[in-house]
Amino acid sequence: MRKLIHIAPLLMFVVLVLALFSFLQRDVDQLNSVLIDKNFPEFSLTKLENEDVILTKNDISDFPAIVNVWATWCITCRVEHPFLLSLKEKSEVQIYGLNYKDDRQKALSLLAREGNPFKFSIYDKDGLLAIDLGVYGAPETFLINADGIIKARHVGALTPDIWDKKFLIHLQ
Amino acid sequence: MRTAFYLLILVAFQAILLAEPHKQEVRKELYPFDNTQDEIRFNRLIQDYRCPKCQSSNLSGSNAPIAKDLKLEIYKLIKKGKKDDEIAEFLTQRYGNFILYKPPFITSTYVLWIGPFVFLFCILICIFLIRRSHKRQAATFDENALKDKLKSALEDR
Repeated sequence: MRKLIHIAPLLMFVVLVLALFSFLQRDVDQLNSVLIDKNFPEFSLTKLENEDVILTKNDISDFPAIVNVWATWCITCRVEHPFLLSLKEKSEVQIYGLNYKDDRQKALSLLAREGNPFKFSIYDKDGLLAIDLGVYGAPETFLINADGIIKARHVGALTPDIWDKKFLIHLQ
Repeated sequence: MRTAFYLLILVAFQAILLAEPHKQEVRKELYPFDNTQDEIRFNRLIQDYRCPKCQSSNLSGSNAPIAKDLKLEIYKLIKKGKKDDEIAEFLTQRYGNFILYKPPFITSTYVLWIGPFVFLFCILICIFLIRRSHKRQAATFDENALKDKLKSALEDR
C-alpha cells in the first residue's frame, strides 16, 4: 500500500502522456459537420449550366442524394471524378454538384471534356453556400438520405471503400 | 566578424520596422472601417478563431482561401453591426466549436476544463500521503532506537 502511493504520481503521469499521444493519432482532417441530422441550408444561386436560372434548396428534391463540392482548380476533385461517373451509372443516388469558387467557362469545359456526373451544379462563385455548409476544403461530399436529411460528410476524394463504409450504411 | 553580425541584426530589425506599417496599411485597405473601435474588434476576432483548413493557425495568420473568406464574412458581419456573440454563433453554427480557440464549458469539454485541477488535486493528495508515511517511518524508527537504548541501559545495570 505504501509502495503504491509512491509510484502513483508516476502512473498518473504515464496515463496522461498515453492519453495525449492517443489524441495525436486522431484524424483531425475529418472535422465533424455541424449539419449532420439537419436539413440542407437555404440558398439562392445560379445554375452552372445556365446563368439565368436561379436555384434554391427546393431544386435539390430527388433523394437520396449526394452534394459534391468541386472546382476545376482542385486536383483531388479530378481524382474522384471517375468514381462519381461510375456512381452515376450504377447507383440510384442522385448526384448534385456545388461548383466552388470557380470560373463558369472552365468548369463547363471540364465537364464537357471529362464527363458530367452531376444532375446539375450550383454555381457558388464567392463560396457563400460553401460557408453555410461549413466547407473548408474541396472536394467535400454531403450525403442526404431519403428523407432529405444530411447524414454524412466526407472531406477529400470519395473512393469505393469510403462510399461503402461511410455513406452506404445510412442508405439501408 | 562580430561587428558584421551586429550590423546584420540591425539591418534585419530595420527591415521589420519598415515592413510593419506597410503591412498594416494593406490590411486597412482590404477591410476599411468607419471607426477604430470596429477595426480593433475585427483584429481581435480574427485572432480568436481558428482556420478550419490549417488547423494550427488562427484566421489572422492563415492565407488559406477559406480563412480569407471567413475574414471577409466577419468583416461583413461587423459592418452590419453584429455583436461578438452573434458572430461566434454564426461561425459555430457552420464550423462547430472546433473554430473556437477557447472551447465552451460543455459535457464533452469537462475533462479539458476540470481535468488539470483533478490531476493537481490527486498529486497533492499523493504528496500529502507520502510525506505522512515518511513522518510515521521516522517516528517508528525513533521509537525503536529508544527501545534499544533502554534495553542496553537495562542490561548495563
